[in-house]
Amino acid sequence: MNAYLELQASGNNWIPSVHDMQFRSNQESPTFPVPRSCVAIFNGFEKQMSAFAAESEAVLREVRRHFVMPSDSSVATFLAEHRSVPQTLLEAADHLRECFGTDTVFRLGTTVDEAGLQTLHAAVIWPGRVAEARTALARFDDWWLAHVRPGTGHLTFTYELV
Amino acid sequence: MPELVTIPISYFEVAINYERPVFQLWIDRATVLQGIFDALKPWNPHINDTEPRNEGKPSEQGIVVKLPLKRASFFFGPATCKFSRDDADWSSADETIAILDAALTALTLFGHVVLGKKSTALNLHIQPQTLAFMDLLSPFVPRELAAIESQPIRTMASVAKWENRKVTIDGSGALANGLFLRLERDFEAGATYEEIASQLRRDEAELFTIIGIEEDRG
Repeated sequence: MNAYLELQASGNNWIPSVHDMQFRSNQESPTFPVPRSCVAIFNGFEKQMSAFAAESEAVLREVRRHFVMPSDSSVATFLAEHRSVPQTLLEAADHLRECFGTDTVFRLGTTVDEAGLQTLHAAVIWPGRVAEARTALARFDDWWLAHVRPGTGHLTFTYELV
Repeated sequence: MPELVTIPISYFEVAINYERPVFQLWIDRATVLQGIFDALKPWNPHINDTEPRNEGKPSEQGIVVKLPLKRASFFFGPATCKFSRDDADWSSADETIAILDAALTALTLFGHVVLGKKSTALNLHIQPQTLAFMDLLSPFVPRELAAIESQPIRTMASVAKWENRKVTIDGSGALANGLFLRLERDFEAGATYEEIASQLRRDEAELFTIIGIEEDRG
């Protein structure tokens, strides 16, 4: 949470721009005429990819504002591979603060089980007593259980005592 | 024992005003742009990564050349030029210097500009590993100010300015539980890149010591 500088970024947008010749649907003469509907799908394909990457980057930036992420790329990779999870995390952030307090730190991490299944853990870093953490987590679970949806099975909320 | 921190977001900026405006750069930028583009060839610039800025005051207009793979950009206009690099760290300092030097050399050669003072800024978003960010910021809150309210302070900023230097310590608006540090320092036109880099490194180390943090490079 900043108090002074509103602009804390370089102002550069590093989402890849669309360069010529990276993708052309007509680099060679097609043997058969391409159906019109198919052409429509591929028209602007790279622009769509670029817009998608920009949106994804913006969501990741927003996640960083609410959750501490590890210095390696494990969480960022997980979020890129599970596109619905960042939105769920952002929705959960307000409820986590409501239950655990506005100054509480929330940390993300990933684990892989024996079957190779990867899970994202959103852990509340709790400096208080365990009973308080459990009570707050139970309150948060009321919201969470009502909002579990397909794709969120890889996400768990927990706490870490410090 | 200093708090171990990571620096997930950082960027470095250098802004240089010319000794006097060169209006040719406002009217005809092609020769200079070609020169800079060619000078940046080792880092694979692409024509679509050049971007004219034709709005704003004359001093704000110019052209930006971007190197997306290096997250570096170089702007030049008729009165000023500005270099910035995201994800800047000390391990890539030599490369940053090489890109900056290539762009500035081409600008002075083809644009016939005389470069003035170099205004540098190192910007770091820092995340402590165990402490809350306010634990690190609270020593910088004047006691009298903190006593105004009985509630704990939620965030704060501190800015100190000298003749050729400015330091900003703030909460991070981009990271959860993060600090934002901006270390600005002006250097004379004749200062070498090595002098600038070593001075900025000393500034960073000095500030880290004052705040009580150490970068976790593991």
